[in-house]
Amino acid sequence: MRANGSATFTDYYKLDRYYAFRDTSLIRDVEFNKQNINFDNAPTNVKLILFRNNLIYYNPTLQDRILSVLNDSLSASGALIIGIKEKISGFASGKEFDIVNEAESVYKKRIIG
Amino acid sequence: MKQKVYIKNGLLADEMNYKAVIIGGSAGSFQVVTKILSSLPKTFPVPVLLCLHRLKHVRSGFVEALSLKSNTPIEEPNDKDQLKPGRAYLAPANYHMYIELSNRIALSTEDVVNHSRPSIDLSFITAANAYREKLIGIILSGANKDGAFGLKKVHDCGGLTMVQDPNECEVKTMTTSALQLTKADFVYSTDQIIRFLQKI
Repeated sequence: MRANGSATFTDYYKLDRYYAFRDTSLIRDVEFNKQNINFDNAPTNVKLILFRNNLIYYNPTLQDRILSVLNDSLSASGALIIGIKEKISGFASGKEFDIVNEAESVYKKRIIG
Repeated sequence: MKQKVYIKNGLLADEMNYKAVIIGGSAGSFQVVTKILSSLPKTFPVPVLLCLHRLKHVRSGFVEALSLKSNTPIEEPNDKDQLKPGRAYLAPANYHMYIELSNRIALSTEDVVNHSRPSIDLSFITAANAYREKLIGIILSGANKDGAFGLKKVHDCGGLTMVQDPNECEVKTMTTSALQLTKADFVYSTDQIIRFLQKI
C-alpha cells in the first residue's frame, strides 16, 4: 500500500511449492554483503546501502562517524536508505548527501564539484 | 479568587519547577488528550510527551488529527531530537520512545512490550529516570495494563503521579491497573487534570 503498487499483491510474487518468491530476475545481478557494525574493511563502490533503524542505537557522535564511513563506501551517487525517523541533516557528514525522498529517508551521495 | 493546588511538602504546583509532563493512554484516550492539548496555555513551560497506543502500520494522520484543536504544536520526533518547552511530542507509530538524560528523544525498534510499540511503560520509565522528581506522569483511559509499571517508576523516582478517574474512562483497565500498582497522588477527572496543568 505504502509503495503505491498498481497491481494486486499476488502479481508481485510467485509460488513455488511451499515458498513465495518475489520476481528474482530483478536481483539476478545483485551481490548482497553483510557488514559488521565496526566497519572494519568497509567495502567501497557500493551502489546501495540499507541501514534502516540502526543509527537510532548510537549517540550523535557515533552517528556522525558512521555516516561518514557509509559515505566513503558509497559509489558516486550511490544511495543510502535509513529509517524514516532517522535524519542526517544535523550532522557534518550529513552534508555530503542529497535528499531523494525525505518521507522515506532515501539519500544519495553528493557528487562533489 | 484562584484556588491553590498544593503538591508534596506544602509546595505549590508552580513552585515545583517541573521539567516535563508525560501522558500515556490507549483506547478512549484520544478525546481526553485532545481536550487537554486544547486547554493548555500557548506558553506552556515544559515539553509534553505523549505515548498513545496506535496502529503500527498507519504512519500519518494521528498528529494531524490531534493538532486540529491543539494550542500546542505537536510533532512526531525524529531520533535524538532535543525537547523544547511548549511543544508536544507524540511517540511515532511502531517505535518505542525513550527520553535520554540529555533531554533528547531516542527511538527504538526493540520488541513490543505489553503487546505495544510504542510502550507506555518504556517511555515512562526512561522519563522518570531522566527527570526524577521533576516529572508529572499521567495515565488515561485504555484497555491494557501498559503504563502501570511505568507510573510506579515515576512515583518511585519522586515524580508526581496522576490517573484519570476510572469512572470517567471509556475503558478503565489501564487506569485501574495503574492504581493497583501505585497509590497515585491524584485521581482526577479530565477537567481537574487540565486545571492542574494550567497551574504549573
